This record gives sequence, structure tokens and C-alpha cells, in this order.
Amino acid sequence: MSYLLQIRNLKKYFPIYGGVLKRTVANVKAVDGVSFSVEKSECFGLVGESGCGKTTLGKTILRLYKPNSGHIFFDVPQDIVEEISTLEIKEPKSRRLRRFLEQYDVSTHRGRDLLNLRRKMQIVYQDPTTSLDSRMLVKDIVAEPLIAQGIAKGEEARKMVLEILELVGLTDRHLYRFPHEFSGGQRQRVAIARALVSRPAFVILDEPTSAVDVSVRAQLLNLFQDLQKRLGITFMFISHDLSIVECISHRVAIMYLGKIVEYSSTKEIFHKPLHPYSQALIASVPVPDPTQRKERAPLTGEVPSPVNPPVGCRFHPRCPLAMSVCKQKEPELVNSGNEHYVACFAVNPER
Amino acid sequence: MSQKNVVEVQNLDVKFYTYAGVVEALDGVNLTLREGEILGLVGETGCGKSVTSLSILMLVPPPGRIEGGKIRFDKQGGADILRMNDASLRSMRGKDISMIFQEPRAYLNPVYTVEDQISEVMLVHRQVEFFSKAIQALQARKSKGLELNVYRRLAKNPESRIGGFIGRFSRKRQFKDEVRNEVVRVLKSVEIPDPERVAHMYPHELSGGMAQRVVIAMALACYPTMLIADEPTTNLDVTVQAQILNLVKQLRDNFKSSILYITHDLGVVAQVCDRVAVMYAGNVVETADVFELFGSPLHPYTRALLESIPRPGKAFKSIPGIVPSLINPLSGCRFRDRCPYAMEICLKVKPPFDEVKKGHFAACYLYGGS
Amino acid sequence: MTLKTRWEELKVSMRPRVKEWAFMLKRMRQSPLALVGLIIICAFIVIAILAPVLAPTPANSRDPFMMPKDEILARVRPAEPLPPTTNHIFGTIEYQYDLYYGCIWGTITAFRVGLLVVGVSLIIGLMVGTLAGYYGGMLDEVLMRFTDIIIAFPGLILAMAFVIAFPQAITLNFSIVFLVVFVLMSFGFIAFSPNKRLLLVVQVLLGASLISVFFYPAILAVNLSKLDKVMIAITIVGWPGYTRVIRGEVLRVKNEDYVEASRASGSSDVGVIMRHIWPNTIYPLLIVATLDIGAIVLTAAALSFIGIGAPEGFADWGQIIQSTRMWLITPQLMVQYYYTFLIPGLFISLFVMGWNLLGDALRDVLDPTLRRR
Repeated sequence: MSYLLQIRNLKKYFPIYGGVLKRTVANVKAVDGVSFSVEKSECFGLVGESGCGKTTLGKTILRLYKPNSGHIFFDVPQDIVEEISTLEIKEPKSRRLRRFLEQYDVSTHRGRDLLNLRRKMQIVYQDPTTSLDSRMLVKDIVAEPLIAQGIAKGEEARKMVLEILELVGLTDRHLYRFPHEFSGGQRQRVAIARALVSRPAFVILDEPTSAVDVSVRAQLLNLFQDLQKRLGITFMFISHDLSIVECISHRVAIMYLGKIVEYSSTKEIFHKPLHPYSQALIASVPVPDPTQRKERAPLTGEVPSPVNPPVGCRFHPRCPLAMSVCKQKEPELVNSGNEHYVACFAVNPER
Repeated sequence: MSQKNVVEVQNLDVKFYTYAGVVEALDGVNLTLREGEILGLVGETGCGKSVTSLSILMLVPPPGRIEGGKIRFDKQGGADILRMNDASLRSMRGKDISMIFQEPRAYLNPVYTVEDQISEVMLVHRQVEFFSKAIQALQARKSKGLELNVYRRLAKNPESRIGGFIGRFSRKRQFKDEVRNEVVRVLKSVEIPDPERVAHMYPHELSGGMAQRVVIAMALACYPTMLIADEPTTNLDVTVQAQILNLVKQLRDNFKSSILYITHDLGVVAQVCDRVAVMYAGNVVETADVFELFGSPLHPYTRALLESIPRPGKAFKSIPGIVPSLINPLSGCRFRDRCPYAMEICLKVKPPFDEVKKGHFAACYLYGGS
Repeated sequence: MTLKTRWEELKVSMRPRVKEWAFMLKRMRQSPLALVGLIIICAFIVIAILAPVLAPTPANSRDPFMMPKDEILARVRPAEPLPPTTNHIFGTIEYQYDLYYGCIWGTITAFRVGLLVVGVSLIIGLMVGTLAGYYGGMLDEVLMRFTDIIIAFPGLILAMAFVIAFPQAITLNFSIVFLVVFVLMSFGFIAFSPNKRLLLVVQVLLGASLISVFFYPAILAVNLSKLDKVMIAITIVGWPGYTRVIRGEVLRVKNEDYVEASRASGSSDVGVIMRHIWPNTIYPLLIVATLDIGAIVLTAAALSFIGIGAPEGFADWGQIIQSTRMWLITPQLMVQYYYTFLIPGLFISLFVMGWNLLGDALRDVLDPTLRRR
């Protein structure tokens, strides 16, 4: 099993300033201790509602935000990751650990190392209208990563741009146009081309189909599958639309208030969701079949603010299975068989 | 569900005169909303669903202009909305027909509390009622002061300008109390927890779901005959959407409201609507009962739309081509370039909107109509 | 379709931009006031270019910007301004300077003052504003407080003070060279590698060279004419306005998705600023700049009117009006000598109005909500 990306206990807080001297009075705990692994050439789905931290998680992995703590191991062999974990427990202050982390842990990379990382990890944003600079020609937009990373310029860059445009289904006629001359679907293709032009190994797709029409979504999803087959890219598909994630991902993780509550293969999650939140979430999705109508809403209340998450299990105020232990301790992600990880005391009782 | 029609849109034509040319946004739209039913209006971006709903309220912004057709509103004795004068329109908006929009916080004024905004709507239309209630309450307490006389005068002459002024800015306690009670009652009816506290909150303190409920409360404040909901749950989380959809269904069941529900999400349509109208590029192409539409769709566009819903394990099917430009549109059916069944006549003449089966309308030459 | 030469590539890539500009011009043509502004400015440009043809410099003159004196008339009436005649189409002003010549060559002066001052203020304001807006934090605070201090002074009065206090000549010594080098180095360090320690070292050296400026002997002296001093003074007073505009725009653009996408693609700060931030933020600045050109010419004229502007006999509209101040003390005299202030005043008013109309038209045309059909 070769993992391309391994996240260990990642945390990202955003400070809230208050008072006259602008001191930090509180933190928005957007990502609060997240650990998972992404295999090579798979499509890993990340679902959750607004405020759960999925977009922040994606951007933190990409180092658009600097994590507060935790490790991001990109393309690091499994044995080294395990060695680092054991070193952290046994010799937390050893020089060896520090050297390992400096070399392998992306979360602390700077300068040249960070630039190299940019070549291998990219992102496609949700809204192609705002993620493309409306005053630049398509050719310049797609060529920018090449120029910024020093991979190619001029004629060579143009060749690479044409190659990638063909891959995403555009032609050279689209080179010398402004983004606003295209439809939403085509603009999103330009954004995808920009992300792929440096041939990254890992691309984060942040709700890439939300801002696009229903009939165009299928085209984009086909494109993603096609690109994955042809180029072997690893995708991380962040979305709040569970029906799409079900169709395109191999494995899925469900986030709630900054933590992952369940993750497993797509079939397992959608056919046998174990966590009460996952069950409610999947049941809330409106099925396009009028013969399957639900009488009551599966979940009441609203997502609490990530500034002050509930103590213990974050879901306990809304959980139908909440017990007394849920109000005191936070459940860990436990393998409940078949590589199906759940963080819930009702599923995996506290021992 | 009675067969009485609340609103009939007939052959509505709306054009937008822009710098780039004349956009024929709506080209003969036919829509019928029956009493006590939820009619879904489905279509992609740019198909004209929002313009249709705005036309019903005569709120189409310039450079748009309503060029033809009729919108018959049953409550006003079948009068044509498009020919109404300003005063009738103003009394109709908010009282007979209300509208709720997509982004709730954009449609709430950030400097007024929830209570202020809901009472504003109520005071426009239900002033006299509040005066009467205030008078009754004061009489019950046997008070004889100035307040009572003022209200009596105003109740007798509700059209007076001073009446309107006092009604809106009144600081007299009894009147304010009546209004506040009514606001709390309306908030309760949309299942907002702790309505007294919420009434004093500002819009930025509300979450998305709460804000949308407040907007729905504002729309229901005057017991409208018809509610237009323009994609009210698109920006909300899935779990909150389920709650709001439930609320909408309850409105239909408990209050017999007629609701025009606009969306692009076919899942929502299947869950909530009784009848569905499908729009494409400024035309209504198919209207049917929701089970009929999903079970046996007639129009090729409806079929393609249903097939493009992603299903696990199956390949993704999309509709080839793009939506045609509405500036100088081509003749004939607007779906002609993307339709797998296009015939000669489809290129020349627009198909009529006929009743193919009972209660099931479609605009397609596959079902006759040449 | 392979493009063989760079020239062809350039032509093709400019085509969509030309289309955009054509659309903007079409919108401008639809507004009559914009057309009026454009015509006025074009007329002035033509006058400025054809100045040597329209008002030829007499052969014995050293500086074309000094108005010619009519010696013959001067012997008869040495001081009094004379009304228009065939020799002097607009008449003469005090000491028999030809008004027509002054007005025509004054156009060149006006353009020179306006464009130079606005240009330099723009550049300074752009730099300071971008740094403050993009980096934020302490740098933003320091730069903005500094700008606020300058804004706090009443502009005209500060300009007057500068003109009077400026020495006749700027002296340069070695320290100035070091000063310039270190300023550039510190900008470079901020931009290319925010290595805090090195930056601090450079700043200390900068401070040291600033102090040493006053101790070294002069090696070079650059003479400043009065008009140059006025221009420098107005520039010093004028750049803070642009700083605030640009800073606001940079703050807005900084949070847009495409800037973050550019950083995700690996662009350095400089790359992001030059490729994305500046093209999206300079439009409001251009609008302010065109409106300012008129205002600056007015300020220069005001300063000249007080007497601390261009020297006597210089072809500058403000100076011309100033010179006949003494002759306009009663209403009857004003009517008699109408040509001395009315004609140059008309030139100034039309010039300022032309730029204002152009600026307004630009603002309407570049309004982002109406930009794309």
C-alpha cells in the first residue's frame, strides 16, 4: 500500500482579535486534529457541511495556510512515517526526529522546498469566475504556473499549455480569449488546465462542480475520471454534494466541526454508514425519485460555531444516541472492521 | 387539492434590452398554479425561471420589459396582473403574493432587527386589524385616554396619511404590543426556537437556516394566497435544507398555501413538489404531475436532464452542446441543436405547448402538433 | 495554427484586448460630455505640439518659454498692458509681453507640470500604497501614519512652505548615492526574500547614510528653477492621495480567489503583485489621476498667482494672470484690461474642465458592473 499523502493530527486555528490591543481572545478551530491517508491514483472524497473545515483542510494541506501543528507527509515511504511516529513517542526531542521532520514534513517547508511542493500539489477552486484573473488571457492564465515555478517560458511554455488544453477538451482557439467570453463549464476547464499544466501528482478539487450547471457537471466528472486514468493523478474531491461524491470517489471521509467522524471506502460509507451524523447526512440528501419521500427531517438544529465546539464528542448535542461519556471525552477514529474508521462511542464503546 | 387555479401565466414574453442586443428571456411561457399545491419550476441557469417569478410580481428590473402575455390572478377576480396599476400591485405584493429568495441574508436589512423587518411588512397591509385589536384591548381594560381615541380615529379612516405614519412609527404601547405578539406568533409558525430572543437579533447574528426561516416568516406575515420561493435552499447545508423542505410541505398541508418552488435540483423537486414545470431557454417545455414526470418524461430535454443525474456505478451522461444564445435566437424549437430527435419542422416552427396526456403538457413535435 | 514570429504572436494576443478597448470606446462615444472632454484635450494636445508653428519663437530668444517683449511698444508704454491688435492677437500684458505667445507656449508648460507631477506622484503613491496594502502589519501602520502626517497639512500651504524653503540648488554628495542604493536594496529585500535580519541591517545602514548626508561636502549641485520647485512641492504634497486609493484597492484584490490561486501556483510576492494586483487596481487610480491633472495645473496657477511660481516673463498661464494683478484694482480697469485675465483664465478653465470630463467619462466606462455588457 503506497500512500501519497499522510496527514497526522493536523490543526489549523484562526485567531479572533479583540480588545484594544488586538490580543487573541479566541480561536476559530477550523481543523482540529485530523489524520488520514490518501492512496496513489485514487479519488478521495471529503464531505461535510459548511463550517466543518473541509476547505480549510484542503488549503492547509496545500500550504496556502500554515498549520498550527501536525504533520503532512507527501510522497514519503511508509516505513519512514512509522519511524517518525515511534520516535515521537519514544524520543520526542531527539535530533534525528528533528532532521526527519525538516526533510519530510511539508507543514514546515519554506522557500525552495515549498516551491518544489507547488509543482506537485495543486488546487481547482469552486467558482471559475473569481478564480481566474478576468484581465488575463487564457494563455497567460494557464502558463502562469510554468513561469512562476521556472519550468518553462515563451515558446516551450506555449507548447505545454496547448498540450494541457487539449487534454481538458479545449482547443488553441481558446488561447487568446478572456475568461468572461466562455461559459461556466469552459472556464472551469481552464482552471483545471491551469492546475494540471505543471503535471502535479496531487490535485485538490474544492467543490469544482457546485458553480456549474447540472448538465455540465457530468462533463466535468467524466473529465476528472478520464484525467485520472490517463495521467494517474490523485484527487481529493471536496464537496457538500454527497450524490456526486458517491459516484466519483473511491474512499470518502466525513467531517464535522473540524474533525473527521468517519472514513472508509465509498461503498461502505454509503451503504453502511455507522456514525449517527453520517447516517443523518446521507438520509438528508433529496433523492430524485418521488416514490421515495421522507416524512421527517433526519437531523434537527444547526451546526454550532467552530469557535466554541461542544466539549467531548462534538456531535453530542444533536445526536440521538448521545450517552454520558459522549459529553466528557472525544472519541477516536477506530477501525470497526473492513478498514472502516468511525469516531463514535456508540459504535465502538469506550473500553 | 382543488382544481381552482390561483395564478395563470399565459404566453408571457419578456425581453431585455442590453448593450449587446435584445435578449429574449421569456418567449411565450405558460404556467398554471393550482390552489394548495406546490408547483416546481425546474431549469438550468439562464432558462428564465427567476424572470418568470419576478414577472408575476411585476418586479422585472430594467433593461427588462414585459412585452406580452397575461398573468391572471384569481384572488383579484381573474384580473391581469400585467395591467394592474401601481396601487393594486402594492397592495398585492406581500399580502396576496409573497416571495422568498436565494440568499436570505442578502435580503434582510443588516441595520434592523428581525422584529422590525417583519413588523414592517405587517404594518403595510394589516394596520387596521392591529388598530382594532389595540382598541379592543384598551376597551377591555376600561381605559379612556388619548390612546384609545387616536386608534378609534385611525381605525375609521385607515387610508389617511397620518394613520399610516402613526401606524408605522407608533410608540404607543398597546399597538406595539399587539404587533410584537403577532411577530412572535409568525416566528413560531416557522419553527424558530426561542422566538422572543430571535426577534431582537440582527441578521448577521443568524445562521443561514435561521435567516431563511425569518425570510419565510416575513413572507407569511400577511397570510398570502401564494408564495414564490426562488431557490430558497440552494445555499444551505443539506441537513438544514431537509428541515426547510419539511417546513414548506407543512405550509402546504396546514395553511393550504399555493407555492411556486423554483430550483435546479431535481432531488428537491422529487421530494417536495406536487406538479413540475420544466423550463429551457425561456420556454416551458413540459409540465406534469411529479410522479408522471419522473416516471415517463416526454420532452427530450426532460429525459436528458433526468439521465444526467449522477448515479453510482454508471457512466456520467451529459447533454451535448451548450445553451443557445437568447440574443437573436434561431427559429423553431430552442432545443433543436442538442436534441437527438430533431426533425425538419423543429428547425422552422416552435412547437406548441399541448396537453399530450391528461394533465401532462409538452412542447415537442414528437407528440404531434404540426 | 502555428505562429511563426513573435510579431504575429503579439498581434494575435493583442486582438482580444483591442476588442475590449473598442467596446469601452464605444461606450464613451455614447456619452456627449465624454466626447466634449476628449475634444478639448485633443485640441490642447494639438496646440502644444504645434506651438512652434502657431507662435514661432523670435530668433534672438534664448529660451522658447520666455515670452517675447515687444521693444517698440515698450519704449512708448513700458508697463501698461495693451489691447489686442493685429501684431498681438490677444494683446500684451505688463511690460509688453505677447499674450498670444504666452498662452500657446503655456499649454506646453501646463502639460509638463500636470503630467510630470501626476506621473511622479502616481509612482510614489503606487509603491507605498502597494507595500502597505499587500504586506499589512507593522509596515502598513508605519507607512500609513507617515502618509497621514502629510495629508494632515493643508496642501497649498505646505507647497508654499516647500517652495520657499527649498534651496536654490540640490547638492549631492556621496551619501546621497548610498542613500538611494540602500533604499532600493531594502525594497528589494522586502519584495524578494523577506529575510528579517538582513532587512534590519540594510535599514540601519540606510539610517546611517541619512545622517551622514549632512556631514559630507557637496560634490554636485543641480539648479532648480522656480517652476521646478513648485513641481517638487506639489508632488510631495500630492502622493498621499494616491496611496490611500491604491491601498484600498489592493486590500480588496488581495483576498480574491485568483490571487490565492496564483500563490498556489508558486508565484513570488513580486510576481503576484505585478501580474495580478496591479492590473486589477490601477483603474481607479487612473481616474483619480486624470481628475488630478486639472487640479494640479490649478494649484500651480494659484502658486504662481501668489508669486512663488514661475518667474516673470515665463510662459505659464498662472504667471500671466499674476503679472497684471496690479492693473485690475477697480471694476472699470478690469473691464478695460479684460484680455489680460479673461483669455489665460479661459485657457486654464477649459484645460481643467477637459480633464475633469475625461476623468468622469473614464469612471463611467471603467465601472466594473457595467463593463461587460
